Amino acid sequence: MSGIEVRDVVKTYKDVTALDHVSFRLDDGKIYGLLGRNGAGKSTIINIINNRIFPDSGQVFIDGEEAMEQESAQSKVFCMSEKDLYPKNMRVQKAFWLTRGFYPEFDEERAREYGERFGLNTKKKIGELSTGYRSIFKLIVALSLDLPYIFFDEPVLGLDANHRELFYKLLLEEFSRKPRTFIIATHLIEEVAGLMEDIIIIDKGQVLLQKPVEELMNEGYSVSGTAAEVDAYCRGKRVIGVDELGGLKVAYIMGETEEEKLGRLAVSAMNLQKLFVKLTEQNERGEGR
Amino acid sequence: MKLKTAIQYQLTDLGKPMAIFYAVLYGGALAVTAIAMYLMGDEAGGFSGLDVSSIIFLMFCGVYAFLEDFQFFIQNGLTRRTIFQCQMTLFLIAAVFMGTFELLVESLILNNITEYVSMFDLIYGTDPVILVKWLWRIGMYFMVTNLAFLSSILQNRIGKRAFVLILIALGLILVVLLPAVNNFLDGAVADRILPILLAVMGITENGLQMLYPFLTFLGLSAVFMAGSYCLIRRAEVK
Amino acid sequence: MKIDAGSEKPIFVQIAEQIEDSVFTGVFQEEEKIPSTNEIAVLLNINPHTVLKGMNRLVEEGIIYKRRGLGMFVQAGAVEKIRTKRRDAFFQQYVASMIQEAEKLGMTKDQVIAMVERGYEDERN
Repeated sequence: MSGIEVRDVVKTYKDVTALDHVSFRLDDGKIYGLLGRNGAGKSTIINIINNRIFPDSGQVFIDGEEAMEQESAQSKVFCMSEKDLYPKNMRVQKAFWLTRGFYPEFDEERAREYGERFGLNTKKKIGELSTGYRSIFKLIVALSLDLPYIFFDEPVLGLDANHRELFYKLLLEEFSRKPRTFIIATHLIEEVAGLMEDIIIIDKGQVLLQKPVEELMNEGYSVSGTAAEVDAYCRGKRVIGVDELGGLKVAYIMGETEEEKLGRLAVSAMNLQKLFVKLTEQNERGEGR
Repeated sequence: MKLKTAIQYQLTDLGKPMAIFYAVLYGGALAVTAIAMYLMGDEAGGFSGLDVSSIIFLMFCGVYAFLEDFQFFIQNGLTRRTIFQCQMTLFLIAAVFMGTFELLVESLILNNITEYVSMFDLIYGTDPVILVKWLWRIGMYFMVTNLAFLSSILQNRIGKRAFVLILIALGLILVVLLPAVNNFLDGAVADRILPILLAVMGITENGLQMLYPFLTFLGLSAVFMAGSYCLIRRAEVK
Repeated sequence: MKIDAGSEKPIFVQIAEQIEDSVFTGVFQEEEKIPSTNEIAVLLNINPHTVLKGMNRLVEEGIIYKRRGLGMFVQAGAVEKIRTKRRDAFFQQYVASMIQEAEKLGMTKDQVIAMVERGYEDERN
């Protein structure tokens, strides 16, 4: 039974519910996008899966095994996150060497090659690197690990445009060379819209949806026209948001278009970012659950 | 096996600071003695209690072992159980090595050059049984490192504020409250507690009982280790 | 080839259109191999499955075909197929909607035809 299963996980901090009965599944060999606003809970669930923090209740299984405090399960996952868990005084090349000691699946040769492509000075101490290069160092480690599940938590923070492009490219190269599950958690939706196969949207500690990107894009569209016409069309539809400008009304809808009822309404597709914004705004209003 | 890599890493990582520590410690001490001898001739006194510095060094190690190494090991997929095993191994090796090394240095070098008196000597007088000295040192070192490790984890678990409050509370009790109560009761507290403390260290009315401090060190180490294990099981990466 | 990941148009559709365009303009010749799914994915920073979906659409339309073990090749007669397809699309996209718009503006058929003629006059000059 392969894949990562998150089952009914709850995590609260003082009076804030970071994760509210979160459940989802990750299959192997896919690129997932874990999308959510800042503070939605993406990092929290990733940290739980990677044995960094503990859930209040609920379970995580990696290939059928309990993930928490199990070395066999944890040796299948790796997490690249904003937090710097490496000793500041350690040189990059030593970190590579040690990673190889902890993970036989780590390719030091490839890591060095990636380092060159990014322009990373491997002789430097980790604490001496700039924010961007510290991210790059961690990215390279993650990319050079042939493990079944690799998590990237906000991987491109602090990276300039060129380096971001390079990262996406290397990610896809790695995916082509040896398909494994990559999970990219980010709030930068447009950049990764093309990379992902499935997305999971997390908002306020809840999973709003989990779907293939294509399916989601198919289901989202907007209609615009006079308020009366739009309202008439929208009866019985799943409306996730509404904008009004003077006499013009735009409704954002999830579902199939009803060609016959459209009349003079203008229809247009929605891009992923718009869908995401409308869905999370809807959740903010407390609707749609 | 991750545990093996972890232990190897810890040992090599400890090597350099330890070398510097001893170089500075003995080098400094010898240099000061040389200068003193030059200035005052044979009347220069010896120095003593270098092992106190070792205790401080080991306490830093204990704290560091959790603060920096814990999260590094978590990043590399180790479980808290494995991390605990690794650190205990490290502490044991460090205690044994330092105890042995220092004893050798003292017996072979320092005692011949100056009148060196170690902390052990200061407490018990110069006991000729080297084995006892050796075991006592190792026990003390191991216990102290574990205490530092435990307090580091405790701070992680209960938060900095609560931890500092506990320290202040402990401090107040020991330094203010206890002496005050003692005074109030005309020394009754001291009369009861002091003999117990001394006995625990092996100084009884019937002479030195070196078994007691061993048991104390062993017992306290076990308690600290158990505490560390329980606390580390649910320690989160902050 | 360029993909706009932030566009409303599905990425696989963009990919299908761009590969089709390259076939039509002769960048990819008939009976020749086109770049593989992975190559295009890495070039455009797009998930390989999405690229594959775009390619499968073209396979369904008979513009490219798969040779087992070798990759995707341009179908013989693909250019002609594309031309026919685009001419049909031309009618829908430009002519039908032009007529719709003309009716909205209250123009007669003769007025529209006169405009088309004027358009060709301008082109010639």
